[in-house]
Amino acid sequence: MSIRHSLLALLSTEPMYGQQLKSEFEARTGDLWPLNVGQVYTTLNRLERDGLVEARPEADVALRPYTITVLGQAELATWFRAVPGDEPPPRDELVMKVMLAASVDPLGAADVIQSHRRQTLEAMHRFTRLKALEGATVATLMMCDAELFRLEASVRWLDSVDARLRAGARLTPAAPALPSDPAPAASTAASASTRGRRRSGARR
Amino acid sequence: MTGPVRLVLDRVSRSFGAGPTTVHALREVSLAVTAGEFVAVMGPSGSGKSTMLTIAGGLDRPTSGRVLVDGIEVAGLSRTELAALRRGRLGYVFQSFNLLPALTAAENVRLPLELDGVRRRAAHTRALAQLEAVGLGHRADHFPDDLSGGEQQRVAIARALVAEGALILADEPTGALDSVNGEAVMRSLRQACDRGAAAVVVTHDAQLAAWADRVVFLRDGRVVDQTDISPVVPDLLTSGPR
Amino acid sequence: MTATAALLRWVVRLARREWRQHLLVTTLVAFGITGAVVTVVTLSHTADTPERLTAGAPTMVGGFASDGDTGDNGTGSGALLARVEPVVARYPEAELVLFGPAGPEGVALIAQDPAKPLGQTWLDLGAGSWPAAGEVTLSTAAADRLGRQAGAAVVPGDTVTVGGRPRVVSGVYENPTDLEASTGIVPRAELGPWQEVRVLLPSIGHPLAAELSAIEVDGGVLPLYEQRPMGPDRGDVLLAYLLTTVLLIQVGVLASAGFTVLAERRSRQLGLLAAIGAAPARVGSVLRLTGFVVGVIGGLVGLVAGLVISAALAPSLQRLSGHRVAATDVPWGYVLPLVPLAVATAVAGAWWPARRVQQISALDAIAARRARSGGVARSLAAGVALVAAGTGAMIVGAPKNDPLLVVAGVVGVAAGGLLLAPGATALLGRVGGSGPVPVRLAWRDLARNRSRSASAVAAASVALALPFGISSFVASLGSTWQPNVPPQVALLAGPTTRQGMPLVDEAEAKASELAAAVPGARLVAVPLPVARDSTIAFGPEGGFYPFQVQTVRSSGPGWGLSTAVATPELLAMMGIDPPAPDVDVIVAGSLRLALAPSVTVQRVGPQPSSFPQVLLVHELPGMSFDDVVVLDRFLVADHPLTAEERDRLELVGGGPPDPTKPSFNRSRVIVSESPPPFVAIRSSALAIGSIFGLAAVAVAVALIRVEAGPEGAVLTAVGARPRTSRLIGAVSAAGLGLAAGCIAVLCTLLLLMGVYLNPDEEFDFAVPWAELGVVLLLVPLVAAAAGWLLTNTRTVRPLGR
Repeated sequence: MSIRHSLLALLSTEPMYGQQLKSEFEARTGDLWPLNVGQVYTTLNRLERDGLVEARPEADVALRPYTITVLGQAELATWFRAVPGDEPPPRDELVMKVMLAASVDPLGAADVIQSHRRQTLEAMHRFTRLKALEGATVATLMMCDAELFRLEASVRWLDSVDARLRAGARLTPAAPALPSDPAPAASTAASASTRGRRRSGARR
Repeated sequence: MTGPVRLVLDRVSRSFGAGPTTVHALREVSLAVTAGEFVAVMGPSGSGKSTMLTIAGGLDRPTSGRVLVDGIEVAGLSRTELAALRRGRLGYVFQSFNLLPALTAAENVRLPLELDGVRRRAAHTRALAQLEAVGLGHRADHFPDDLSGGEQQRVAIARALVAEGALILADEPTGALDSVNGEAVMRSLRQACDRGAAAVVVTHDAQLAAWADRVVFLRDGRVVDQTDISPVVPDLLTSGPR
Repeated sequence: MTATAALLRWVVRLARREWRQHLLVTTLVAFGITGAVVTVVTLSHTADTPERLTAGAPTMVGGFASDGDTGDNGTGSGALLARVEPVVARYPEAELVLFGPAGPEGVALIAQDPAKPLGQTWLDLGAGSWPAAGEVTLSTAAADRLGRQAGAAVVPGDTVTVGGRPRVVSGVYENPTDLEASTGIVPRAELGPWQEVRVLLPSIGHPLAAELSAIEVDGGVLPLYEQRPMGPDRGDVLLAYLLTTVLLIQVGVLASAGFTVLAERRSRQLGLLAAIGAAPARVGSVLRLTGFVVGVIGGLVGLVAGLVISAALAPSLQRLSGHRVAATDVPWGYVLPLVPLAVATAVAGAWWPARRVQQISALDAIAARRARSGGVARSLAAGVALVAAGTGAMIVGAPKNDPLLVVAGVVGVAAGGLLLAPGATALLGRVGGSGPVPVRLAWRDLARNRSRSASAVAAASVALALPFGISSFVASLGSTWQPNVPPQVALLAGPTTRQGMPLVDEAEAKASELAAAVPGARLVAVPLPVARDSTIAFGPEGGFYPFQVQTVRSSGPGWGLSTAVATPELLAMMGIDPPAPDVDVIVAGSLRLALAPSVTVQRVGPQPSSFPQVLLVHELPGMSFDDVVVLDRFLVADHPLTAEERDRLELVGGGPPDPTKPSFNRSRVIVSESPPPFVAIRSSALAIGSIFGLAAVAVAVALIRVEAGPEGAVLTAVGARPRTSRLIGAVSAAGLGLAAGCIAVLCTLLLLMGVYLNPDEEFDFAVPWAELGVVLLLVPLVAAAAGWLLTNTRTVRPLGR
């Protein structure tokens, strides 16, 4: 995931050098997203090439401070305001697994679902424990909450899939789609979404 | 987290009705809870979670199987002995209507103690301490009518905790609460378990089940799965040696 | 029309859901009406009216007494009869009945034709037949009396001596209007001397009446009087209605409690009714309509039950009243209006809860928020003020017998007492707060459900107050009651002529005869001071009237007290020490007297009513000790007179006195009367009141406990012992009973103060310990026991989904 805009945001507060940027980023994200220093420098170079930051000439590369340019400020402002696009949903490993399991073996899918449910809860437990540690910063709490809500959402989706399958819903295999063919009248929602996906193409 | 075993359900089954309309709420459910353990129970509607809790608390009798609280077999107890058990070792929290409207918050909390013969002043002190622990020390003399739903639930938790080292059985204790109050409740339970109590909490909220040491999954009256939590936590943090 | 139909449907639905509450309230109304019916019927039969006749009795017209001259000639009553009898004989529908005096054996003979219809109301043949020549048909009382004298029961076929000669008993009969009359029916020719003549006619407009009134006698006309069958005494029925009103007030208050609970439980639904646009009045109409239906059903059921019970009580009433009481003998005109009264009570009971329901905002009802009860202070203040005012009115009004003040007093204290109920409930909650857990829970709950608890307390107070008052008053009467004469004393009242002249010598002779009848008895003469008045033409010695000391009353003229000259024997008999030399008058009791201030009065304790109430030690202005008549004497035995001695005295003295048929005042013997059934009256009053009070408490506890289901689950989960729930039920009931008892005792004693503080009556206030014990201890204890037993200890709430 791109960290360009995050670095811009940090530089908008004060000029920083590479190592400093790394520490600041990690601190402000509750120490949950470790950054590679090399990744930082590569991103800084790209930013400088795009004219969004300026490097002050300093002998030691490691201590070279970068400042944000006017162009960079504008870019940052645009990024903050931007609404997450109407892109197709990112490919989620869990969703893929469950969808395929359900279509291949509906009855056995329950085990797959339960297994994921368990693992998700185990993960949630770890993050909750983190929150409960002494000295947890506010940043840590918020980051843990972000993860917890995300994981919770997936648990709730698992519950809903489970309920549908128990009630007898089944995923039928998709018929070969010829553009001229009229769409079969009673197609399940699943096949419709798979078709939709293929059409627009997924992008990460 | 090991300690003495607080609760044992040994192949407990519970059926309602007879003949073709029999409902098998629980089928051969086994569960063991040790001191200091915080267990969450999850499952879809009709999976038997509440029934399991009622049976664990002695408020219902199983059709077959044994229930042992602190090693005492519940089935063989008379009503008086059962009452004594509930006073001293169990703390039950319903989903709603936990408090007696005629008593203040503090009086509600100290009720199990007073029923057990503890002197009023000592009971009041312990009750106030427990209310402070759930953040309601300033509402000790208010009646339930004057408290919000969340506050009432926290008072109920305080009452369940007032008997030191109790085994807490809670049925959707945060069902009517927002996330902030719900988290406060789970925190209290977590802290109580850390201090030596044990808790079995029925919940459908995954975030709240995450506070437990172990999550047991019920489905159609059976235990189908449970989580396995490794105690190592700091892996996630960036600070520390890498 | 559709709106009414919808309302009715709603009422029916409500009744089906809440059938227990409806049943309870209906039962209460029925209970109240049953009590009312029984009370009215009982009072109508035991009314103290002489000559009470049942329906169908003849109109009696004409009658005269004998003046002792029964000869056919001359101007005496005998001649009068000789002129009247043929006149009557000309009209077959008229009857002539002659009454003879009671003979020495104590049986009075009557000459009456049993075949004639008008007199049938006095003749009810039990066994045997009516008399032929030489025979007599005895009344059951006469047969018993003769049997006692003979030592063996008298049956038809026996020969007895009545009216001076032996007759054969042909049968036994009863006078339904006077079951204790000791009489015998004989043929006209065998009557002998008679005392009174009565002519029976079907109506006063009969031509014979005109003929009789034309007969001249002694320079005047034949005295005629009319006697028609009388119904129950109006005053007694009004009393019955007063009691009924009190009863119904209590039923109304109780019904109100029931309806309040109904309204609270259904407030959500009723609030929804309001939310969807039903007019507020409609919402209340549901309850009022329910009240109407409950009143009708309860009233009818109560009526039937009351009639059944009255029929069952008929034999006892017959015994009590002395005249025939048939099971169907019901004063319908007074009983039937009770049903509309029941309806009115039930509707009234539903009125206030209906108003409250209308005022519930839809929002509060849906949110199931308990309406905050208003402050108690206001009703408490009003209650105290009313009680104080009522007490004052009673204290001022009772001595003056002012009906307005008395009624105001009663109403004021009653209303004030009812208003004290909410305060009492709140006080219970306050007090209970510092007690152990069951007491705290029970009494705080009572205080929280203020309207319900207050209604129950009010109802129970009313139920307990009236019987407590009656019983306490009777207790005071009983503590100071003494028989008219002590058991070892008999009053021998001397004979007088018809005009009132004392027959002194006869009196003395009779007295000696009587003294001889009782071994070891002595005679104490009663010297009667008299005031001569030559203007009264009563015979050769002129007239006199007894000198009596008068009392003083603030509400009207006083009356004369029986006065005698204080002789040593009299003083000794009355147990009074010889007075100090300066004492002029000795007075028994504390009544105020109209005497000059210079007269020195010594007061002694109350004396039996037949003893002289005033003894003159010195002469007073207007009388002289020289002018003293000894007419009456006391016979003082050395032992309490036995039954045989009393019978003998009555026999010798000339039979029991007959106050309704005085021809001349014969000497009479007055023996010690048996005490009124104080204990019976107190016990029954307390029992009835306690039952009603407990019923009120039970209703309240049942209603409260039914609501406490989820609380029971909490108590079980928290580990309360099974008996804790029972304890809570018991303590609730006891609390209600105690609060009601306190209010009842307070209000009643305050009201009775008006009676006791009356300076013109002599009432000694005795602390009614038994009554206090029953109302303040027994009733709460029984309530507690009932609460204990009736509490449901199952875990009521199903847990989980």
